[in-house]
Amino acid sequence: MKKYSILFFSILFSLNLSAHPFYFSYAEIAYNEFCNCFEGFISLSSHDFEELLNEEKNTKTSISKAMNDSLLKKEISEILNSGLSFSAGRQEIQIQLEGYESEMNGLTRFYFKTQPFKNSEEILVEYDLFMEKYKEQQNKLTIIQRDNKETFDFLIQEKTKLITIKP
Amino acid sequence: MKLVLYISIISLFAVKVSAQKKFAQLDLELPTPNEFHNAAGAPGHNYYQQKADYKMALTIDDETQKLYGVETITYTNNSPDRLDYLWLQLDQNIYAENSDSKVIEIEKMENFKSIGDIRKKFFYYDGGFKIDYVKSTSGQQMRYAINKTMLRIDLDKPLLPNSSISFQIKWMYNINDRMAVGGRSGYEYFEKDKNYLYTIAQYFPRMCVYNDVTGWQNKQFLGTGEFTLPFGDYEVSITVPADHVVAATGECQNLDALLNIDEKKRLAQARKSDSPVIIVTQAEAELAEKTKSSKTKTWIFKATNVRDFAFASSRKFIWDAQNQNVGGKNILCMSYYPKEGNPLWERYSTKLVAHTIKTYSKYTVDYPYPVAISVHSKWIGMEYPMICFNGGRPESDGTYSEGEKYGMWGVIIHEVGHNFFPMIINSDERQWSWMDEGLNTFVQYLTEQEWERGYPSRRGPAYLIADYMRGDKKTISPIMTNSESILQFGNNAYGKPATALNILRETIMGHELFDFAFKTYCERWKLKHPTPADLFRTMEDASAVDLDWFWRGWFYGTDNVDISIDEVKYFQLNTQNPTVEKQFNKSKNENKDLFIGDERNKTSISETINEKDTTIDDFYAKRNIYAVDALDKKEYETFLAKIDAKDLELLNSNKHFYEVSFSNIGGLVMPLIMEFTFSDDSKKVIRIPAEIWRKSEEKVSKVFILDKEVISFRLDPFLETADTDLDNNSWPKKVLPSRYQLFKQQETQGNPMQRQKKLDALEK
Repeated sequence: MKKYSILFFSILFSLNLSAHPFYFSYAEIAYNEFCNCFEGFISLSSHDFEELLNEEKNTKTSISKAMNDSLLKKEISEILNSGLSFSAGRQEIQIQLEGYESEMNGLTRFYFKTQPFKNSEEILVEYDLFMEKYKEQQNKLTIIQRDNKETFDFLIQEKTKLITIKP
Repeated sequence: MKLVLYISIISLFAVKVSAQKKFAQLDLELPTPNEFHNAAGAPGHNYYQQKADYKMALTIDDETQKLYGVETITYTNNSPDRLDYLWLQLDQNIYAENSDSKVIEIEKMENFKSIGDIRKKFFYYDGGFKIDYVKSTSGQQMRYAINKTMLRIDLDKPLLPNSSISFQIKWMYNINDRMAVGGRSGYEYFEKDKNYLYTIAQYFPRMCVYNDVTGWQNKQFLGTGEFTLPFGDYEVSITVPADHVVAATGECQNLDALLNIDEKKRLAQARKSDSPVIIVTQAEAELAEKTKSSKTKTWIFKATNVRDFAFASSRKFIWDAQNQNVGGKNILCMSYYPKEGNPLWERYSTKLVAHTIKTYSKYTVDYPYPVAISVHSKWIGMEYPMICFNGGRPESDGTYSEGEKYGMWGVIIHEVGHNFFPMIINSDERQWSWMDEGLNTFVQYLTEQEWERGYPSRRGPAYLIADYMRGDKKTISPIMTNSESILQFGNNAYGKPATALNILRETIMGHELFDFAFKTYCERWKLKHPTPADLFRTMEDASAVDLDWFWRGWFYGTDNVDISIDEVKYFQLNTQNPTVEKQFNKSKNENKDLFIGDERNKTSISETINEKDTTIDDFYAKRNIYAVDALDKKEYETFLAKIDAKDLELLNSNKHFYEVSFSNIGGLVMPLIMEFTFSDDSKKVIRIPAEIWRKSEEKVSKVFILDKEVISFRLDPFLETADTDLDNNSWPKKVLPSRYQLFKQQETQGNPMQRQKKLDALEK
């Protein structure tokens, strides 16, 4: 029998009737062979993320305040790590938040670098950020390797993708 | 390499001829024109639409948060058809226990890994309409059947063409707590002062549209596809606590009895003012919050030729208004908001309403209604005729981020803009979300840009849609997808069509042609029911631009734009003049790259054999191939005798020829916008229409004849085509820094976070 971890936090009930949803995030990563890591960013709706922060961490605030708030930065990192994760074989590769830019058009870009990972031809990516909250969420990730770009799509029915590292 | 080129032999080189796909006309996709929707995209000579008039008496019970209503509907059948039954929409039934919307979500066990997920599954709210009766005006019960969110009334006698029927429905429902249940309407409870703010919509059984396109549009409401409604006249009385202020579709008929002397004076002043005048002040609203009247008052509204009726009610409302003249007619623009909306709302809301009404009227049709209202409603943005509910709430200390401000501006412009799409230009929202959301988002962009120069619009500019359009095409729906089945609703129904229209305006058609055609569509279909084909056909009909390829690619397809520059070949004309050409070859030879051994041998070998022995060099070794001899001159004279003066001038023009090859990697054909940077750093832009792809959809080449030598080529330099890969848009190939690299570059100069830290340290 499978066990499911039970986390206690409140969730607002919604029939997904929000009038004007965004439901989209986009990540771009580049493989850096010198650090054997990925460098990249996630672009998402600031408002959606603040909602998630409120629900998952009970933190009611604006992302823009994270600049000077180490606790908030930590919470943001945790949410990002749970929404975009990489693994090489058995190694789970954490992402480290390096900074962010909030744009006035309502989008925020979080910049990150992953931990170095062992040489591996294939990396498993799970990118289900927002999907627990918004069933319609669609995420896209573009990997840049040696001038080549490849984009992967993530939906609630397909949260993981295997990407091949081209040394 | 030099080629002999005489006159204008240069044009398109079609690399591969294939069957016409992307440029095929939309004959199979579009419905056959008829007497109701003609081939030009206008209403046909027998166009008709039904009419539904409502008289309603509504009561809000503020103690129990229930809404009671009784309505008399007069339905007029203007169609040529006999109607045996009538269909009405019961949107509140989306909250009923047997609602499809609760059970149609795809689920996996991993969706239930938290107690919150499980609680959510078992959440119960007694929603949905409780219908008391459906009666004829003579008091006889009428037979009816409810199928989830639809109600069918079976008529004893068919409703014949050009005849009307009146009937009465009584109902009630428990108003949803919008903060807990969600939804486009409902109530918000303010714990601090224990008051409610009601934003009420989709609250009464509403007639479905019947027409030549869908018959009865009785597709079930699942939550995404919004509302398809006929026009009609409304008379509505709303009974609420006596200290409530009510905002509604239409004009209030009994303000004299409802407002005090000061409020009446302020309202009269607002009607003449071109800036907001406060009618109910914050202090007055705060007083009402505390005193809480136990009496009731009835507000009476009338609205003519509207597709729906919504209202808002609260004792918390601050109310301001100003006049906006449109086409010689005065429009009263108003805002209603609790103190929690300030300071943002008092400062901006009504000004945004006025600006939106004015700007949309310029691009579409003159606003036909007497009022336009923005009501504060936490989180959401939702639209109804003359009234909309909008988010944008500052923090509890009254501060707000710049993002919150732009968010509030954007949502007000968008929702007020919906007055035009679909409230006036009344498309079928249940079927096509993009027809109102996409068109509205496009005009929203134009309106935002006229509000503030460089306004950071989220949707509209082509480059903003690129991230969505790249990737696996299986996960992208065509824009022409039913509202309920769209993947990625926001980008699909809002972003992509808004971008497409922006591209039509900026790149394909130009402002003049586009604006005329778009306004023609709006004028043709104002206060009527257009279909997608009416838009597609009108835009062509009014502009003489064949756009079938564009509609096919952007609206029926899922391809993305990714056009690459593959190769550039450089040519110059051979003048045939031996003096010029031999000198050119000599210079070329002298300037060619020198092998290192040849260079070193110049000094390391003091003398070669043929330098020592003069008998070694023969005719070939001694001749000067760059010298112009008499034979060369004679041949040139013969050539000159055959060529006319104009051709000679062209040969001597020193033009530079560049053959550039392009690939259509993404599949979506677009114009080629080429920027040339010359050796003197000057630039030139040449635009080639998308029809260059009409005979070869994957690869084309084009020769550009230029006066100056080009040092670099760039495709789509103004980011106007939504190209998803800019790295292959340059020649010589230029790899652009990734956004991460750009961020790191900024960081080294000190990002805002670091700057703030330095500032804090300095202040300490």
